[in-house]
Amino acid sequence: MKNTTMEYDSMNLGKFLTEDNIFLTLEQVNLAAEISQTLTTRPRQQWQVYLNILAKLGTIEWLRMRSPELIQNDSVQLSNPSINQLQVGNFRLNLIVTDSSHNSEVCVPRAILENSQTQSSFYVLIEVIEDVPVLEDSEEQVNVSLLGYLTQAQLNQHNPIILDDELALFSTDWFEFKPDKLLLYLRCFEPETVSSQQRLSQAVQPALNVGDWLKNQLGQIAEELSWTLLPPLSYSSAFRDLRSPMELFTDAVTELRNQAQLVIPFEARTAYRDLVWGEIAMRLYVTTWQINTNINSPEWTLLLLLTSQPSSSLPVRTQLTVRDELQVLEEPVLTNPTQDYIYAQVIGAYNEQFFVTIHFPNGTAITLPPFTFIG
Amino acid sequence: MGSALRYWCWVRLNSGGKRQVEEIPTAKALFQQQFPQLMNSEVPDGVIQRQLVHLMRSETTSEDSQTQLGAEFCLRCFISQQIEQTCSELARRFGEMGGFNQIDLLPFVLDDFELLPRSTPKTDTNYESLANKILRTFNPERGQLSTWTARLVKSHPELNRFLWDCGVHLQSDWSILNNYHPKQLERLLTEVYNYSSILAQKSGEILDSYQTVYLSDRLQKNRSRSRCQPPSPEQLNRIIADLEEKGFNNYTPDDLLEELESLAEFIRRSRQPQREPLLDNTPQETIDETEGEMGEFLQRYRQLLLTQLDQAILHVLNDRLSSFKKRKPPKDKIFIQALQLYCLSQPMSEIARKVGLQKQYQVTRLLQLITLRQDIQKRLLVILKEQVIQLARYYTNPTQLECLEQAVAAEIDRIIAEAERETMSFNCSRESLFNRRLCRLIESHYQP
Repeated sequence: MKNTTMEYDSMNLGKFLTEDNIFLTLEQVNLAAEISQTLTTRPRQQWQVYLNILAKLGTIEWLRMRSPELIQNDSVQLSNPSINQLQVGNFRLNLIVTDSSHNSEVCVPRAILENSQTQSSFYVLIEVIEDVPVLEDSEEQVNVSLLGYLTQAQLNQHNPIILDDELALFSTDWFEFKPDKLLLYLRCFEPETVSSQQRLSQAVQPALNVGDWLKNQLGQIAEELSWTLLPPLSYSSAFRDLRSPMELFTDAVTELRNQAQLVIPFEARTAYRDLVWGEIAMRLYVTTWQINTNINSPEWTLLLLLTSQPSSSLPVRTQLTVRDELQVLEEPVLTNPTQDYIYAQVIGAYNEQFFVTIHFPNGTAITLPPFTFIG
Repeated sequence: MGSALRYWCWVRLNSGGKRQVEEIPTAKALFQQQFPQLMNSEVPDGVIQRQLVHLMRSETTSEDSQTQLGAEFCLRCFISQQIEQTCSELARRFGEMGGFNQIDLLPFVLDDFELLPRSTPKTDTNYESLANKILRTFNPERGQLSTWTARLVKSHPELNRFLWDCGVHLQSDWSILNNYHPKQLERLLTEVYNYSSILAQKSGEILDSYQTVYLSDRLQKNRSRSRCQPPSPEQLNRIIADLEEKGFNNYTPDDLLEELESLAEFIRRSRQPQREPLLDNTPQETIDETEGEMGEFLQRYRQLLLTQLDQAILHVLNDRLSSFKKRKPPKDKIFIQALQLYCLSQPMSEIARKVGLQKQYQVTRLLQLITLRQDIQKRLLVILKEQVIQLARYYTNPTQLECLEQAVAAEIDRIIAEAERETMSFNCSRESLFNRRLCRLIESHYQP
């Protein structure tokens, strides 16, 4: 008889609720149940989807309570396959549901592991108490608490146990049980540096010397990275190949001169590089020239212009970040789909380095090797 | 094993709600007659309970109806003691933090008011005491009466409701089974409980069939929501049918129910109850070098912090209010009212009474003073980030960002301490300092 072997264990009796938790209403719970049935057919999958929706609704309510500026719009995406994901600013939260903070392991779909390798991903452990002892007409039907989180970098240090083709197990010991710290990241963190390795790699990467360009040379590193040096600017070229990189750049520069009073001297030199990220085909033009106003401390300019390759377009909220070793200097964002490009201009001393990152609205980013000017 | 006394001493609440223990002569006489050698010793409960249940349930002639009644009273005495013990464990584990004691719990479950034979017709009511229900449903072949009693006490609806209001959640077996994946169960049984893989797989199939039936019922449209109940006989039959389709035959509803309950118990025991989520606002005692350096650096932005502090407090308060306003029913009024009462140094239980809440925990949950402070700190961090480019590098490294938050918290404390120097004693905790500032703002910005 199995029951007799089970001694009564008061430690497993029950648990305290957190103070910082969220209740969902009957309306929300019914909505979740309804949607779950339209998305899948097997009862357990429906149940999982149902819990995921409850977790997502609860997380949104929690953020709305704790940090309303993070939740911009009221519409909530509740369709597959994003049912266990939530985009908050530049961060993607992968929601992992558990029914008790006391569980030592949690089941996660393996798809979550394969889809989110970006450094701005968090895995958030959420307790959903679906079986709340309340009265039928109460507005507090389901209780949701954010228990803790795990960054992608932290997850990479562990080996999830593979259960079958679809499921893996995470140990709950991997999670940091401090929801407030997650909030600190979401509100204050600079996304491109969620991975400190990435910053480290910036420091050791050889810099690209744009000073070479003024000597009509591309330089070894730029050559290796498939940069193309353009001829000196000429606003009235005899050849008008309308879709050539040179022509497109000249058009943009003309527009900048007219609209932003940004004047590029004739001795400036430009190189460009085509980049592809997912479905986005971009072109980055980099222009440099010297500023010799002060002979004792000569300076140089780096002008960056990010546009799409012909037949592609840049997504809204694409952002170009230029920083020096201490801080962000410029970070223009594409705000309007009709906008063709974004640009940034910085000025530095000889040998100073600038770091350039392109951020995409889905939270991913490309960091380029640093630019410098060796006089 | 335990003392024989438990079979003739009856614990009850008198009409004044006071706990009383009574010796029941009928029960004692019966026990003496049946187990004369066990009167003064530790007794084997399993053997005794089987015998008593047998006597109680046997077909009777009129001369041994006294035996039947005596056996029933023995068992009800035992049940009353066990109910009390379960309540005492709940109180020991959760009472201090939850703000209740054993006496608060007993009225829900110790509701056997007088020892009458169960067959005595009740006057036009369906009322059944918990002890009666335990006795009616107990099967001595399937386990101990103590386990069965504890199980029914812990799943008692009103007791659960009361504990929930105190911030304590007891999860039912059925809720545990709903949320555990059969594959995970198979792994648990083989890895932790040394099940053979065939046996573990069978248990996985049982859980799978249970979920197929139980979860689809629970997700049904237009169902009225209620707590998870044990599967009904009809549900058990559908689960058995599902198992038969998979080639697992010969389950009776009772077998199946027992099997499911023991699976839930395995899962429950695999948990780590020592871990509670942290609502961490304990200041770090050791200020490391980086934080010290940041602190010095922050001194330069003192003026900015000073002018922004009250703004940040009001900003977060207003965010909270508009969030509470959207609740159904709106809670913004009781939130600010509770805060005002808190600022008048009213105890939490008193605040609860005045704003119409049941328990202290509900006030704590409404006010959330710790998270309120955390959110205000973060608001200041955002302001600093926007206004002080020299601080930007601290926002790019997790450790530095945490240090910065600590440094800002410490700086806020210093700022408030200086501002309030005349009125506060120096030994004030950082919480009381901060809350003092909060209260001043509430006083000047929100009408009582």
